[in-house]
Amino acid sequence: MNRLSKPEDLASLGSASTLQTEATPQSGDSIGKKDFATENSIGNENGASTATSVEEQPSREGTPPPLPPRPKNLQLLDGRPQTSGSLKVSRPSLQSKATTQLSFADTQSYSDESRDTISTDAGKLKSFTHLGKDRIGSDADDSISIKSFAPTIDIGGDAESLLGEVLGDQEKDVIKVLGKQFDGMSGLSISDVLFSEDAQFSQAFEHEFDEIEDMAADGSNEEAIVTQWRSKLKHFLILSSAGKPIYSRHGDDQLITNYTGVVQTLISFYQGMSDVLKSFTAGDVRFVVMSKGPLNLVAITKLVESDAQLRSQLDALYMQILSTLTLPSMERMFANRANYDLRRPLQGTKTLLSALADGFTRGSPSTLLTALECLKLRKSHRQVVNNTLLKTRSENLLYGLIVAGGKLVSVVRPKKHSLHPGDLHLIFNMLFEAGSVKAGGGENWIPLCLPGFNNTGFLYMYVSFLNLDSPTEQVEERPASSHGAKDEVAILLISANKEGFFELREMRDDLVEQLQKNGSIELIRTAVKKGRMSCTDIVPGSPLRHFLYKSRGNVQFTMPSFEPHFTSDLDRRRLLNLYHNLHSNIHTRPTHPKVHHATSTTNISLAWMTPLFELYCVAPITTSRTALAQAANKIIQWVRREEERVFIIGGAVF
Amino acid sequence: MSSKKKVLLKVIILGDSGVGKTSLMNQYVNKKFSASYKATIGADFLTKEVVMDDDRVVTLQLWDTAGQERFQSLGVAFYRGADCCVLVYDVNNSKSFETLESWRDEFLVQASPMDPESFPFVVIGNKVDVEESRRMISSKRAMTFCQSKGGLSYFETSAKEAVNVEEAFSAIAKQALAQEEAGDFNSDFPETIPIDLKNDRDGCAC
Repeated sequence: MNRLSKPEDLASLGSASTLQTEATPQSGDSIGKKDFATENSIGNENGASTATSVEEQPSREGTPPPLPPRPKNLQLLDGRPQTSGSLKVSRPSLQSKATTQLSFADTQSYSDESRDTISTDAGKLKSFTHLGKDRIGSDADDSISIKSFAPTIDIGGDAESLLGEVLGDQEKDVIKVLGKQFDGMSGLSISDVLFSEDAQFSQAFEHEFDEIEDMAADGSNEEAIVTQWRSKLKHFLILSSAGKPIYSRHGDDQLITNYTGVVQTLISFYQGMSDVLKSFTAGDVRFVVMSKGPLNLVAITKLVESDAQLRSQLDALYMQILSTLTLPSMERMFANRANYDLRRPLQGTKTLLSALADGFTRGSPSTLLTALECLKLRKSHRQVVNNTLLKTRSENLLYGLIVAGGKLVSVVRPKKHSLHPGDLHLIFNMLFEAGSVKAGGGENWIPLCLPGFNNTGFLYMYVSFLNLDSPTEQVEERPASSHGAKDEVAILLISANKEGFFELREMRDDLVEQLQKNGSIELIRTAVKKGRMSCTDIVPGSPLRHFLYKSRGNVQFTMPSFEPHFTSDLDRRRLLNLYHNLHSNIHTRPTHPKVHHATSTTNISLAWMTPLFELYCVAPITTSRTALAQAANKIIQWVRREEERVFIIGGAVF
Repeated sequence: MSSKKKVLLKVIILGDSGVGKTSLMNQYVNKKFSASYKATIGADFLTKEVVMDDDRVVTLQLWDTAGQERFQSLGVAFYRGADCCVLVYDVNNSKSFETLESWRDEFLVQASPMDPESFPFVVIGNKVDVEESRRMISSKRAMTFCQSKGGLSYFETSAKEAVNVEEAFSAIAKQALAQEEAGDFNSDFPETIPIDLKNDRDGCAC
């Protein structure tokens, strides 16, 4: 992979240089600058917000001098002028604060410094622990592990095999020429192939979701089972601090009990030394550990994922457990009984945990970005839906939501309470992925804890699915869907009132009647049927194959359809691998690059972060960097134009 | 994992190095015995499914520990949340018998079970296959010790000749299950969050 990027980005490469030996800093340096200038002017041209332009101003005044050639052996660098103390000063504050102004000059000195710090083990340890301490209490997305920016397999490993070998720019041109020749010869354009083949990965992924055989009574098939278990790309283990298994995505007790014992021993060994085991690597497998009170959660992956990304997945699983039990109740269970078997009270929730886990393994833009997706709807149309929700709101309603296939249509909420994306993710998972609710038919009344909102108690959720196909009839609940779950529309009414079922049912009837009358049902139906737009619908002639745009302020994201380029699960996973890679690169600490650019033999991609948004996009290798940057800008323009259609700004508030 | 959950029982095996803890486990789980001695490094794990008298199936998670002193730092980690503790000594080695008490105390300190008086320990005197003349600890002496500690179960075994191993572990499983189920309570259904929409104080204020 040849990463061409801004100088600060190169610094991040530098810090991971032990692994990314294929990176060519020198060539990247000059091109990177040019590229940065392009990005910069684009940003200004478009009249990006003040924050953006201020942020990028220093570089407009003069391109920074090229980085001096770095010696191959970083240990030879003598003198570490800055200590971690100064690191603290120049370190940008939490990413979630949109006002952070990370000046270019700042970053530069900063990354130079970090490169020095990394040059000795002691220095590394010192600065990292310092950062770690400093970050306690930051949000999940920002949580870091000591290891998360140390050179590890995160970016190496699968990334390379997936994204092809390294190519210089010159070679890239050759490929392009070859590509054109291929065009004529085979009729199959090279630009149709966004990812190079990796048979091993394809095969592993194909069997990833296969169930592992049951162990025979005599244990005769043990070897085969262990082989199957080990060939999984991804594992999630949840265990108690006694080492008793609570949940495992793959494998039964017989198989995993020993492993949970070993994992618990490792974890406790560090706890015994008043240290915390956060992650480690064994072979090509990355282990990330999260200890939460009496629970230990472990993610084990061979996929392209960073520690921070895995941590947010573990967080979601933990929230799912709390959603079933609530925190105080779970703590009570373990309080005097460390040997407590939590699988008993969690009975029946395995499907929910596995639906979440499989979502992560397939690749979930929502979890990657910790953001929600909304159904694209005209502002005025959404306004009508919002108003209808407000008008029909019953007395004990806390939250009212209309959701179409995992995409939010409208929300009504009290002024003082916003919705936590993690909570919504749990609800959407339950309704649209695990399918556990529909099985009950008609209406549902579900007690659940929304840990992001309040992890100490239960709320009650009324759920009913709409029949959009017969809008002329009185809308009915329906137990089975005639088409995929992705098209289903549900009305969710959440209350803190245990006895609120009939009240909320009445509200639903009222709400649906009104929505029917004012034509909103039909509008939602049309929008659902239309699905996501394709890249070329959004920007005619766009070279982009796919993109993710996250509005940081709204904690929402939008993306084009996966079709026609990413129809299979495998294609999507490869796309998500690429996004994961871009995401972790642009969230690298402490450098925090604003633009990250990567090319492989088969694709060219870009990650771009400002205080307002994060954009990730990918195009075929035949696309030039300038064209990619322009295409990215067109997306930004489109989002700006459509902002109130693709995102819910504020929602209905009472 | 099958939908019907089997009870999982954590069993810790303690005792001086060389008394045959690993051999006992191996004999029980794999029906094998190896005469060559290989010290356990840190810890070993073995899993065994057991059918109980009432046809219930439980899974034993056996934590085999290293007897050497230098591994004692594993402490709390190891002992936390155990359902039964097995104390093993070598009937031909009086020192290994004399240290049983300190193993037991160590366990109680580290694991701090809710009710230490009633926590199940099972004592095993291993290597009874060795000729009688070399025996150092008589059954009587061992049983007196067990009595004095509140009536601990006592078994004499030979891992080498598979004598009494099955019986000992079935008693262990039974006691562990009883311990696991003791104090099992029907937890109160968690409270509903009191939310006054007019004067909000609860929930997140984000």
